[in-house]
Amino acid sequence: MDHTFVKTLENHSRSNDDHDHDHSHGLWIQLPDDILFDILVRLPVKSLMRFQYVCKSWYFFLTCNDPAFIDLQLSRSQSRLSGTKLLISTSSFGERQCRCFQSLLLVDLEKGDRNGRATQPLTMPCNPHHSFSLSESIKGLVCWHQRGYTKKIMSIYICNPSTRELMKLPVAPQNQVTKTNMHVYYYFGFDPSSKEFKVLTIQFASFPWHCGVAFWIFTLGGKSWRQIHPPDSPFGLDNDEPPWFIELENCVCLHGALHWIRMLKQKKAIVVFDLRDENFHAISIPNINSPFMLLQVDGHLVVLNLLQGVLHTREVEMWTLEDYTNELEIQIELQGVPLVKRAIEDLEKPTKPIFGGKLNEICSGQVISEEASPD
Amino acid sequence: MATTTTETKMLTLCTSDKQQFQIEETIALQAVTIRNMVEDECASNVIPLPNVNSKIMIQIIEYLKKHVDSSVSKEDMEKFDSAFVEKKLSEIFDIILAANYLNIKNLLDICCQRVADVMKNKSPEWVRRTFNIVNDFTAEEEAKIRKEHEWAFEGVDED
Repeated sequence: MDHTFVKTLENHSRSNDDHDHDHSHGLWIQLPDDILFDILVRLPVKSLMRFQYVCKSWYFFLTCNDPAFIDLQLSRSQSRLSGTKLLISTSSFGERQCRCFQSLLLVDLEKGDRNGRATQPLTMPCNPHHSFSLSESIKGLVCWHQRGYTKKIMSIYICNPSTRELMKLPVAPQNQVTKTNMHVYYYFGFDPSSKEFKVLTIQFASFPWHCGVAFWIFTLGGKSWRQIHPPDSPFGLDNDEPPWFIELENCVCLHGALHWIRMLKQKKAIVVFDLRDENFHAISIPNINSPFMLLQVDGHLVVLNLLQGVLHTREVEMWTLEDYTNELEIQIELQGVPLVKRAIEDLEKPTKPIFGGKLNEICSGQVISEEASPD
Repeated sequence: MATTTTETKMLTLCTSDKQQFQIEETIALQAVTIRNMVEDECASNVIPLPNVNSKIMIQIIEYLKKHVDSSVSKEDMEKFDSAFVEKKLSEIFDIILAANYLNIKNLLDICCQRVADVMKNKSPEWVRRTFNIVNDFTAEEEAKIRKEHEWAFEGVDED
């Protein structure tokens, strides 16, 4: 441990004997760096953004993206309610009724600001008349992309809502035989083994779908998209299984893999895309007849069985994959989720939430700020 | 407060202002620095702590006495901790420096958390005054950075 400050302390306390009132406000010495680190790592991102300009050394420290600081800051924000926010995209109708206007809102789960407002709008460099999609939050980051009138992808960003930083990605190439009626899906994930964020895009034509499904990967920090050919793709040219038997809108990233539900009656399963080896496999799931969805709860993969009368009984059936590597399942009953309900009640009218997800605060880190212009 | 038996081993701590504190060894050994000194037998009857004054030592002993008591429930311990850090920041800073020197991790944790809680909504000017930091930005640099993150200045406490 560094004890050099002790000497400074003695010197200063002697020279400051006559100015005791200065001392009463706070420090009369500089704190050792490891203690300063320990204090700063406990602060919310908003405070850290503000304290960048205390002095140059704080500025360099807070903008140098120290991985140890970012990881500890994120895990601290995960352990306190005020470090967790709800990110919601909303749609409402503007003056021209036919145009759908969407916006992003950050909802404070702990308490509102000084004016009692719990929601905070986020401005994105977007065309308000185009629809957009938002990935779930991965270590405090979200992937956001916008479609034009012809469903063509116009722009794609990685966003850190806590710091309001944006990184624009190039749009993935579309190398299909037919470019009409293309389905394009983007997924955002994190591979803990390589500590890399990756964006996967799945593209296929709505008809004829068997002319091929293309997969492209973008690794954050890289320059361009690269096409991959996963050998065990469930989207292969197997005529039994067109892509829409996979619930492509409902994806969960966990343990370095992306997960979807395969709806095919006899072959219900969770389809897994491993972000490390960039290949697919499947996990079997209980035989459920009612509609269900995939989500994650406290690091566990969860299949939520939307039994009839959920709103009335406030009870849902939840299957969790307790032991990920051995695919062991248990079933538990879950009470309704009052936390999410409360947050949504806070929203200003006439917005209607169409997506909600928990978001943990993360400071700078992997996102590099970039000037982005609207399309 | 539990009464001590005659066999209880005592340690004498000597602070920077030459005050001597006699405390039970089990209480004092929670400080890793003291434990190392005792284990290495580099301390005789009196352990000198030249970096801690008696005013701070009294508070640290109060903390250590509470935390050595295994009969205190987790809830009561948390109550004690949150009441313990309800002090002026200047005192908290002194305790932080002493806890860092004595290597008492829990105490350091609750004090750093207290500082973070107090400074959370403060302005950079307040931080500079409180942490004794000189602003080495030029006015232009300061204005530029501030403009980039204007939103982070919304809802800041008045000094």
